[in-house]
Amino acid sequence: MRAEHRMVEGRRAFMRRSGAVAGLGMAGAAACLSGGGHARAQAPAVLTREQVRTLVLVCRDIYPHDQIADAIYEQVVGDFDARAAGDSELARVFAEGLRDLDVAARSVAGRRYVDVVADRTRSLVLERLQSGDFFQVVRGGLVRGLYGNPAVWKALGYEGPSARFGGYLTRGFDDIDWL
Amino acid sequence: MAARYAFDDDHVVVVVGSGAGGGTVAADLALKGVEVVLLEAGRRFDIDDFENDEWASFEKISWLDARTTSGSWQIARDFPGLPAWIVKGVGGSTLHWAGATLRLQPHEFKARTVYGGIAGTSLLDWPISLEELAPYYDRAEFRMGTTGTNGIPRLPGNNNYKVFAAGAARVGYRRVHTGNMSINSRPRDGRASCRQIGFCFQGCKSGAKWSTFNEAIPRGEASGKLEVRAESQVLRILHDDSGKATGVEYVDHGGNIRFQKARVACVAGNSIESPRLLLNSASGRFPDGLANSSGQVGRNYMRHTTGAVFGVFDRPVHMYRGATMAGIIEDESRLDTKRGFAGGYELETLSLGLPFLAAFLGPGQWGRDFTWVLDRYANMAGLWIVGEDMPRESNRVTLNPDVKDRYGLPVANVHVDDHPNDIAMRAHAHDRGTAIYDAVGALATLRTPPFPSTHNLGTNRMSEKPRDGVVNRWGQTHDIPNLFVSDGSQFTTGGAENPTLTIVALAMRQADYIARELSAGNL
Repeated sequence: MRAEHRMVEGRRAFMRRSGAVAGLGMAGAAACLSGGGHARAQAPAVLTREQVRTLVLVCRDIYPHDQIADAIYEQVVGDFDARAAGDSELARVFAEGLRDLDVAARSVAGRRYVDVVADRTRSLVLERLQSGDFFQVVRGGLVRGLYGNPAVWKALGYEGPSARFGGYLTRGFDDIDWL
Repeated sequence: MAARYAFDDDHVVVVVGSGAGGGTVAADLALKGVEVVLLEAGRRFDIDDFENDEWASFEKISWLDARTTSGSWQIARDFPGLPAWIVKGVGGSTLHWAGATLRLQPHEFKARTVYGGIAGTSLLDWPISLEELAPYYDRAEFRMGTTGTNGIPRLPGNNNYKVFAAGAARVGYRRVHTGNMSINSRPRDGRASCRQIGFCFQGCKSGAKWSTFNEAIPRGEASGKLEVRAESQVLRILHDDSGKATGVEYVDHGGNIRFQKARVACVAGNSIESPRLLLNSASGRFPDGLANSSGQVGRNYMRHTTGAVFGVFDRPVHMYRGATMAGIIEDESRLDTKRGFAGGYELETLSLGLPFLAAFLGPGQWGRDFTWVLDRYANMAGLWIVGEDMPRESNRVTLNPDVKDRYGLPVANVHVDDHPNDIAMRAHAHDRGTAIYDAVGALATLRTPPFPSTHNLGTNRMSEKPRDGVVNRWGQTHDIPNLFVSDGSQFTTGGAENPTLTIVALAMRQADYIARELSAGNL
């Protein structure tokens, strides 16, 4: 629980920094979704840039959403990096997991994970790792970091908090028209 | 206005836990003039503390203290450290509950007689009948402001309900409506009417949803007889040489160990923490834990046969708009053993926000099949199954000697093996839920395994004979006359209905009994 807690706080801290809270959320989200501009400016603390690139691809392969920009997945990987900076055990899980990932990729496709072009083939590589700690840590952090991100809510059609707008009583709670 | 009592005041009734059971018994006793100290492990939230954010709320209000799991139930694999999704705070899980307020059916009080002796179960008849509880159901529904009772109109149906009701009609269900909900459909009892905010599980920000937090406890405090001590984690119940309970030892908000003397103690920490407290209170005289001469404390753990079905459509639904669970199909809760299982189940609308849907839809799933569904989040509808599960002696809460809490006490382990009856019922209900959404043109339907349990029941069950259970018809322990159990752990069997109303009715009835016995000098 504690590890996950830190991750959530990391995400919140990121959102505070980027202004993606409360009323500013939508503007922030739109900027994030446009891609590119919100790539992490800071150098990663523990992971190499190559490892970040691989992890971003792993994240996208675990939960692929074509309408969501890399920048969103990069936020989650940024949280992983920040967590690993304060947790040597976690840093080891990432280092060993990324090594195992490339070993599996070379075994399946004869090249590093990031160089495997076909989605289907990368999925086969991930399937080999899916019961291990690395995959579980990445997937567990991703399910919270990705689907807890208001930018992703917006992209997938979830409107998020409603009390501040007076609920949905006058905003479409019963507006379905196709039944 | 709220009372203050001394630690050595041995006239007070101490209640442990402030949820549907504890909050109700404490308030009702106070309203009858009995002096009550209510100890709650969690903090006292303000309505402004509730968040329309599933993970943030989960972190803030859930009971997240360590627990372990074992057995073949899927929870032990999907959420091994979180067997239950319940609340730590003043108001307990009435902060989180969805508001469904249903009475048990007559036959459900006689499960052993009606269903027969099913192998591998510990089915038992309740020592009370529906007729005995009915006046308290009446009183509870009035107090809670339940829609569909006392002339209170039902809530309007939201989009999720409209899909559910249209599908239900097409497959031939007849008993379909927006539920008996303790959510104000119009202003009542000083509380506002529902704004269709959603986020019922995260603490109601309009106050429309009944809870002990916003109704019973403030009312009890206003009587001048109830003192609530939040952030007070009870460690054990103590007793004297005669075997009578003398009070409770707890850690207060400042971390100090305190002892509160008591004339009567009521345990209402939910069905995992209540048996844990009794077991952790073992002494030289009661080496197996308090009230456990039968060996039944912690056994017969039930959590309802649950699961969910989500339908994906080609047009928008926005299921998350509005009340989380205001919709029910009652047809399958009938008594009918021809379906291949004993007991029945309710189907109720359920929405989850994107964060929790992603976590609960298919725990551990990933890849394009999974994200294909989430890409259509706005077009989804959802329903929840709540059915009667079979009590088993081996489904039980025990102390885990290998994992200790911050006070050095062993944590609870929750062991469950699904009974074949539970598996057959879940399969039937998943099929019916799927049929409902297929009938209105679902592109796909998804069957979701149980979430961490919200309906935790049965671990200190009520029995006629002392050897069969832990408490008698009043929730009074068979072994210790001034020790009561006031929560859902009293349930002899679970029925098909959401349990809160029955917990509240039992607590009101228990308060009457305790007050009567105190007046008569019997306690």
